[in-house]
Amino acid sequence: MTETADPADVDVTPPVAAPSHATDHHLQQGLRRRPSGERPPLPKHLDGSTIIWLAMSAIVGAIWIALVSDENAARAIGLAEDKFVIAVAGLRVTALNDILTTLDSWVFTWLVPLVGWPAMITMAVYKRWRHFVLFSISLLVVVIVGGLAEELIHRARPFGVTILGQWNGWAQPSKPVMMGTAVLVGAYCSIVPTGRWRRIAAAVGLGIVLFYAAMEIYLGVSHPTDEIVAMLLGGAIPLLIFRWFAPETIFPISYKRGGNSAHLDVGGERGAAIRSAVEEQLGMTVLDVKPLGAPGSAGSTPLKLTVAFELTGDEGQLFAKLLAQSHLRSDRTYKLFRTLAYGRLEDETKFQTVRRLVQAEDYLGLRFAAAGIKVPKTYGIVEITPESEYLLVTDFLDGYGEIGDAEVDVDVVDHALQIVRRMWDTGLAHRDVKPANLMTKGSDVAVIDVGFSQVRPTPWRQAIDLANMMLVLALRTNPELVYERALLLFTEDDIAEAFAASRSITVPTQLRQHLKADDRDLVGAFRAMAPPRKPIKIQRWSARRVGLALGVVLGGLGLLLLFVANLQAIGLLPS
Amino acid sequence: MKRALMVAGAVVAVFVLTVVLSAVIFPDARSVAKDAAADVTDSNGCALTGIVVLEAQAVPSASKVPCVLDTLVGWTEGTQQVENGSSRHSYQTTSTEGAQWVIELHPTCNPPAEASTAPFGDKDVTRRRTDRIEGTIAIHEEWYVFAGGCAYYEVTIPERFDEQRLFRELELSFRLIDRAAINASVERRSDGAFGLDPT
Repeated sequence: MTETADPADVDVTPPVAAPSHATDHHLQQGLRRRPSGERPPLPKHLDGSTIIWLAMSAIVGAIWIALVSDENAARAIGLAEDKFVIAVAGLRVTALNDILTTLDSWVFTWLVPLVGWPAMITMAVYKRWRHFVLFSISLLVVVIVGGLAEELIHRARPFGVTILGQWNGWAQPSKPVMMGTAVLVGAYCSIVPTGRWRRIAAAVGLGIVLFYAAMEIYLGVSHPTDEIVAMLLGGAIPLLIFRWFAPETIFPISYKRGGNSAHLDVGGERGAAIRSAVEEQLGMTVLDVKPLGAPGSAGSTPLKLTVAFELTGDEGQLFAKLLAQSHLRSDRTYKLFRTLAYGRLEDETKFQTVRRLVQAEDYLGLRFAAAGIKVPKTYGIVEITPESEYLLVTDFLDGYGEIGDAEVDVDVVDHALQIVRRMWDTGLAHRDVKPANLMTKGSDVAVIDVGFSQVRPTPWRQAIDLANMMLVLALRTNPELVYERALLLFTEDDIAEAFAASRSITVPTQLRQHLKADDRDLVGAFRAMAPPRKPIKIQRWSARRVGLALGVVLGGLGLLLLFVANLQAIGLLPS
Repeated sequence: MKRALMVAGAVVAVFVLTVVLSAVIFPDARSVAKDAAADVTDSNGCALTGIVVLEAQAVPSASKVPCVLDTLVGWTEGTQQVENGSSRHSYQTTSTEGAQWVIELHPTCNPPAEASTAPFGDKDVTRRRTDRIEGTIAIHEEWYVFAGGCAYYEVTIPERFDEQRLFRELELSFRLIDRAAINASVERRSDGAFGLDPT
């Protein structure tokens, strides 16, 4: 066994928690407290199109209810509508009848599948699962509400005309137009990016729906109010569901190269909110907000802020992490997966609010700094939308680069291992040690992304941090050097424990990919150098885990069956 | 936003609820069809319900439309499928024996050669019927062929228990309404502006 060196004797520059810019004296200028009652930087609100839809639904609905509640009014409407359809039928032209009858038959059968399937495939290809689920649910809700209205209203088809088109069931609401509208609005909300394409899609969709409704009236299939009610139900329900459960500001539709669906759009309204919030809450003028789009950061939206300090006018760069509901959900999913994979080996209690998530990350950053581990200095939390969106602003670590792209020498190895030693000594675990989270500048090493860290973690987790750090370093050097330097700070038993605990599942995805790309068996090399030790069991079986796994499997099966039934109900699969 | 969404949700909920309630509270205030249905019965007391009107619209050539008397007891209505060209609706027994009665309306039909002719009160209607047993299931089929259409029904009784009594019971509840009666009703309710079919 090798003697363990006193960490104090190792010739490494102690990591310090210092900002890369002397920005502290710039702060406290231009700060402004938001008075009670003033709207937050990015208030939650419905957008214009939703309000228009809702207003239209409410007005038409109210008039409709008022009229049909009165027998004479209802009769008058019925007579007027039938007379109108008869009058339209009187204008029929034989050649047009043939064309429209054929077109109606085609649209009746194919509109929903032709729009629905490509939309769902697009969502699946781009892994927009939230939109995928909402799309099918919204269509199902339309089917249910429409079916309910149809059964209760029991309106016959227009009288006094030869019905030329295809129909099925009661006249109000017109089912094909309702489903056509629903599938078009659903596709509009789930696959069309905002801007020019959305405007085009809205115009085309509206054109299709209006044409279809007019065609049905011409062919004597339905009355005008059957079409209006169908369009309102088919449009309002998916729109509300998408606005509620997948608001555009949180789940933007984007097909940009390298775009990550977990990353929020920081342009437009949110961009302006970030600028004003940082100015008021941190006292800096934001000159530019640039998304970093780091591939390993799906748990947040990383940003680079170019700021000017109000007092001096100096410019500088800061790093900011935008955390929102989507990231909270991502954290929950991640923890559920871990519970299923490990069986609550660690604390997997999910965060209940975004505020708590960002508070925890900020606190952990401060704890790391207090432990003498170099982390980006935090400038605090900026509130964008209360309880929903917060920005954690830190140093940008100017001049630092990812360790995976840097020259790694003995000094870097020592500094990196020193970080693990300090974490062990101060009862911390990073839990996500991978190249993307280790930054170097010269021989300096800093740790970023401490949001997953834990205070007083399990010994197993601390051992995993060591194993992952040694693997990261060995990727850029060789295992022998890393092992030799590690023995200056850790015992052979510590290293044996680390690699006895290491499994594929304990290695972060990015590190695993790097290891796969490397020809060497680094884990095997470390195990060969360390004293033999039985693998540490990381699986924890409990009734809870078995129940949870069964619940997930059964829930998944149930959802699959429901999904198939749903596709049949909405006309995307034959019954 | 939460409040706005709640308000919006409440508006939609109130809208749907009001539609539902208004349809329940004012069941006959919806259209001429309901009005037409309200005051028409055939000579045997078969009420013109909304579904009968819709069936007439489904097969515009049919001079008669099937209906079931309200006096039928022990059976509940099952699925209804009415579309351009045909209609189909079913009844099930409320007891556990699982008997089913399916009634269809088509523009034409081809009763099998072995179907026997049976008497029917209306001379414009040709009635054919067959009875057969498949395993333990008794199947009774009837065809009513008339100008421009054909009403067909099938009764299946999984456990044979006095099936002829059941067949007879259903036969007594089954009627054909003249299209002219429906047309006249629609005309009356529209003050002569239009009838069921184009003039």
